[in-house]
Amino acid sequence: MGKILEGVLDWSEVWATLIPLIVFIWIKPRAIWTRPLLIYLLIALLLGVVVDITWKSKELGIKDWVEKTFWWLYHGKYLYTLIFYNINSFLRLLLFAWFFYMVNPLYKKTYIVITGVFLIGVIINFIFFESIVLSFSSRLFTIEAAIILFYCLLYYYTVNMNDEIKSPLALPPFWIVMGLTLYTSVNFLIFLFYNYLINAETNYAISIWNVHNLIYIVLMIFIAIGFKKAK
Amino acid sequence: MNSLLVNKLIDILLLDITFMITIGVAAMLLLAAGFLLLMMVNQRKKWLLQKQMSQLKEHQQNQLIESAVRSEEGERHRIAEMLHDEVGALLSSSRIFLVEMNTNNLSEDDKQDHAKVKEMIDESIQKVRTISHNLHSTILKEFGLNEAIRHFMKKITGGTVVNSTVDLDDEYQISNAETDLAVYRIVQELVNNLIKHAHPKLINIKSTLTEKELKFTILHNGDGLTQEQFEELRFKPAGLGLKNIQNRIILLKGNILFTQLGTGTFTIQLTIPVII
Repeated sequence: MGKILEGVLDWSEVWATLIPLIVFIWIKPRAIWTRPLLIYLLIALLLGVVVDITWKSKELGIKDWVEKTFWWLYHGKYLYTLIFYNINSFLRLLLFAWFFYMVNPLYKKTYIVITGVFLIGVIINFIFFESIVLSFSSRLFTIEAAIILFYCLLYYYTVNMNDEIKSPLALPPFWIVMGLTLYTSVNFLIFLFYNYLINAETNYAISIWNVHNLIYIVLMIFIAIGFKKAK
Repeated sequence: MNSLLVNKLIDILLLDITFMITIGVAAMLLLAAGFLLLMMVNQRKKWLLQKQMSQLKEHQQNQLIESAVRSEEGERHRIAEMLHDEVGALLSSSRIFLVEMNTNNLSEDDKQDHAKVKEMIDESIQKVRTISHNLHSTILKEFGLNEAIRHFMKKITGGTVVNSTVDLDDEYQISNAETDLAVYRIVQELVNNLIKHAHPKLINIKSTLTEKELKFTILHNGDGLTQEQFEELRFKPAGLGLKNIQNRIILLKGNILFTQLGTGTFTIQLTIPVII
């Protein structure tokens, strides 16, 4: 039972991403703000598949194929898939900034400035301070989570200022912002200490990543509800 | 010994960090969920407050409209009474004196003038009666809405090129004198406007009564209005009549709909909720 649950959580970044994608294909929402989300989901699915099949290659019986295909991920005899997490985090902020740009256009300049500064910071960080391939960038993930949380708060402020809205749950983007709030706030501390935990408390780091996976499932369900409501 | 102590310290520190992170993650989850819940509750409260405020505003506006309409009706009644009782009585007395005048000694020209003056006084008496009646319909009070509309249509289109037909549901009896008066004024204003601006050759007024509403349909072949034109005109200073119509409809909690059925055929649908 424990093994099954572990397997379900390990593969959650693949199957959970399929939930909103299936809803998107089924509903075909016309709202323009769904575009960056669709792009994000496709990228997340691709990266999730690559991470999971390389990581679970031995269990899947495709170790040789993975070694041949993803030879560039090996440093010595160790496989490093952290680059995919770093790319995912970096693209997630860009695409969600685009999403907020469309659903809450009051703060267009804020998104452009903050996201621009973040991009420059990421480039400087990976050139001079951290390896994009060999390290899980706690800095990147934490700052990304903080920025997305800030964008969420700006969205809530706009919704709160509008007296015409009876229930924010009736707004399709609100579900996505709600999912993002839960995802970024819960994962903030995980991201902040993850780099340290990988080295100092590996078992705990693996366990706490399951919490990330659970909240990721919640985020995906909320995005799916947002798509459904955006019909 | 020292290395043992250091190892123990590291163990305590690591345990503390993992414990703190677990507590921190749980706290963040509660904080985020609590924030979202509070935000939704707050938003609903704000919306309810806003709704109450707009209801209060609407109530105040309706009271203002009602008072304006009542004052207008009062003024109409006063003018109608003055015209009928004072001007009408004066004209009737003048006519009696004129009829009793001995005209035998008058020249032919003077006799013609006398007859002309009598004719003009008769016409004036008739006009005063018509104006008085339009301002305050006694038929509406005595015989009800249907009869008042039939009488009004007969009078306004009689002797003109406009052909009118009236097909009213006689199931409708007087429900409320104020409602009847408001409906009568709306129909009166609409028909007057049609004759003045739309120049129709045919006007058909039909009413149907259901359990919940009284529906009037005015069909005509003049140069009518669409709903968009009505909405636009009623906010213009010149559209005072249309504004009055809208005010009375707000008071009756009814609805008016202007529709173009085809080329040169228009309908105006007036729906009034009634309690039978």
